[in-house]
Amino acid sequence: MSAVPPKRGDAAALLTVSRGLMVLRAFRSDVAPLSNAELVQRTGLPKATISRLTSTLLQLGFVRRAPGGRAFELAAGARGMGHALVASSELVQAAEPIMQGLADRLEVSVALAMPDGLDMLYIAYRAGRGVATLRLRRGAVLPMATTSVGHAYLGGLDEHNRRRQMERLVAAAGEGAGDVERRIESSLADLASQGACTVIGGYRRDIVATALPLRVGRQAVLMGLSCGKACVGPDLALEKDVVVPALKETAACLHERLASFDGLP
Amino acid sequence: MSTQRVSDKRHRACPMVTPFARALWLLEAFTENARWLGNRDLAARSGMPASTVWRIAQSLVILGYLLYDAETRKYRLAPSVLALGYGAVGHAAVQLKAHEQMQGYADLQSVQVTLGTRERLEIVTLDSVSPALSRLPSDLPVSVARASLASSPMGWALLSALPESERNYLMHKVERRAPQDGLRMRRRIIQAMAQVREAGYCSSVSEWHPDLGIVAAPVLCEGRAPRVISCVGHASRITSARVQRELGPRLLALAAQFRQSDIHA
Repeated sequence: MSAVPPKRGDAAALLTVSRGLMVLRAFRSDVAPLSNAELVQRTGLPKATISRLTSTLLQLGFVRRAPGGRAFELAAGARGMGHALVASSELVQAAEPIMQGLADRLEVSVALAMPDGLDMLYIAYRAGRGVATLRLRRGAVLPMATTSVGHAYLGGLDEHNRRRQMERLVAAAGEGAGDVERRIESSLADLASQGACTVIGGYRRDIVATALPLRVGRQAVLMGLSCGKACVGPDLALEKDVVVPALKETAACLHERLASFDGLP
Repeated sequence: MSTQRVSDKRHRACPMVTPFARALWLLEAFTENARWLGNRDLAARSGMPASTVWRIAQSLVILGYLLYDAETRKYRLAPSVLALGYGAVGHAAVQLKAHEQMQGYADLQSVQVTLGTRERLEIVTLDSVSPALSRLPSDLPVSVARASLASSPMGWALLSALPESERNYLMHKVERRAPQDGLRMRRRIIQAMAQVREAGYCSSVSEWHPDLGIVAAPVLCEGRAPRVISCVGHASRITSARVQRELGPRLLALAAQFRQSDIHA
């Protein structure tokens, strides 16, 4: 997969496109609508730029005005692209029933995630039937630096790439850099010893999640497989004795089932 | 809808065509049945000239939103498009139907109707309708973007619909934030839950605001996070007789309608 570098005149167009897509990304999977001011805060782009971009998004049906009129929310148009990807993805369709099995058995949420910049992007997701909190979805974006699924991905990389990515994560962490580094090292140690890592409070407080790296398909695309739940007073022994083996079993099952696919969703 | 008509409609609606708009049109050209598209296909589907398509497509490859296969000379959506709003809440058609149904209730009962869901420890508004002939003074805080999970009738209705472990988990979080209010809150919530158990809804007059009366009911649809439907009116018109006779039962009927719409969506 390759691209030809753009001519100079296209640089401005590339920037506009990049920024516009950044605005769409800024909505994340949030439920509450966002105002232009909040988008400025999330993207760091100037107010006038945001205003122009949300205007385009509005005209094309990717966002609409939320009740109240002051803020925007994602509209049907925004869902279309992701839907086209997922609906045409045999990989996602093959993986999710297997993930649902684990989700129901342990009453957790199960996710398969790919790296996306400094984040992990959920490409497949299933929640156990009884689960109502921690309801994420396909397309959810979680920080690689602090989540178990992010650490698991890092654990699957070769030394050189892992070091490079960690440098990026630590640099982006600012004041929290020391903490981030410690947590990652701790997870890497877990991965080395038991093949999975558990993180408490990595995504939200009181969320406990366990994850491991998984290479998918013929291209052996590196992903993270995780399962998580919300609970007060997480039981680490339970995670070790029950969750880790179950997760490994699911990973093996997925690896086999997805072996004939290319590897990308 | 033929691609020709779509592009015409767009060109008419967007006199200022930006690179960003073009990029979105291109991304939209991919569908669940059209996973890999070549330059000519993209030109036909997006209504743009082939040279423009090529430039924009290459930009999107550079930005990581399209993948290009040099062998087949075709493009496909990259997994990262899932981060561009696929997490958008709900299906547009279902939301529209629900909105119409809410309007029906609002007009009939002359109350404000709001559909909300939980985001952390608050109920955020997903949709809200005013009655056609509003008898409410405009300075009343009738339509609130966010309401407290623990101290609003909307919050109580939602809490009562959750599994016990989850409710305890959330209550624990709430109490951690405001330890001094804990006992009083718990008592009121238990009261509200008893009402929901018996009648299906909970009501509260002049409690949340001296001039307002509220009736709220949980909305549970298969495969979705729990939501809450509530109506707000002037306290003088939300008598217990009226709640019992019409407001409550009709609110439950509205919730049932939502469930039906969801199943058939």
